[in-house]
Amino acid sequence: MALSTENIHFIETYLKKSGVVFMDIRLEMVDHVASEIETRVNDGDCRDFYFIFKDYMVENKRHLLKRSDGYYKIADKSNLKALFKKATSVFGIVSLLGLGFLLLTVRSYLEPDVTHTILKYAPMIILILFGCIYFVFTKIKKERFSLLERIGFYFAILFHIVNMVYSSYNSSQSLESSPGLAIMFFTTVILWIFLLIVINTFQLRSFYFSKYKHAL
Amino acid sequence: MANSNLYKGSLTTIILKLLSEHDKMYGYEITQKVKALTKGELKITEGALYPSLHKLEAEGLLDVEVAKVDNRLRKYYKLTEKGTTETVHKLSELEQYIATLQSLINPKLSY
Repeated sequence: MALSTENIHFIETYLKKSGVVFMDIRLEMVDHVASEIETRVNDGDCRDFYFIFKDYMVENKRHLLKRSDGYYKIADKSNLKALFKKATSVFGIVSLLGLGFLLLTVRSYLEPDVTHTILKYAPMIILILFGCIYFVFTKIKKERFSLLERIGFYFAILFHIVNMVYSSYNSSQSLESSPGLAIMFFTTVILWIFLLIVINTFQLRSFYFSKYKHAL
Repeated sequence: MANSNLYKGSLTTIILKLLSEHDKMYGYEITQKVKALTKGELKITEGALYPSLHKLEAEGLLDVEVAKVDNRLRKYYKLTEKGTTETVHKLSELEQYIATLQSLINPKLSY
């Protein structure tokens, strides 16, 4: 006997309210709980769905919710691995060199004070870009997906590094001369990592779109 | 049930072995299969199974497929090419481990 749509919806709502916010994780838990309840019914448990569900949760809720917490570590590691793979690919190396060349060309054409002004506001500009990418593209039709949302972890790390380095740079620089090569190199690397994260975000979106098309 | 800690290190190998014998499997099916094969001796909890599946997926050893079954969505796992190779390697490692343990615990029966 298969559970009704209402029963499935009840399990899903219960898990969502219990903190299982990621759709890719929750749908698997819903199926697990539903399958176990169906097995119990098929084995002769004649009670109403809610009583069987309640008993199952009393026995297994701790195990179910434990896996939800442990997934962050796996998701972060998986995202880092994907970024590293991109960084060491031909595209990664060519884009790093291209960005470096582009920034050095821009620096040679702009007046020193203009370049300094750009660098002064760099943390704010980068924060706005992060915010746009994170809040607009890490959700698909209001649903949250684990790998996609955990990309925010790397945005946060990157933002703190940017903030720290540019703040200390801006407070110690003279506005008369062009920015040194060290800060230009740092800017190139930051923009490059940002580019890799953005590409990864869009690839994950397309992965979730194709794999979870039935749920969206 | 026996001390489940003894099985912990072999969980991924057990999952890979089961998947190598089936085209694709979903989480609950794996727990039931293990329970049936071990006559209830080993029960894999949700808290242990799913993080292992996700880890294997993240390592590129498993691929996922989501399908609609009985009013709900079901996530199936299947071995990738890399996963098939890794299964052979992990099984060989486990066999070696069992043989070593055997020679320590019961030297007369060791092979």
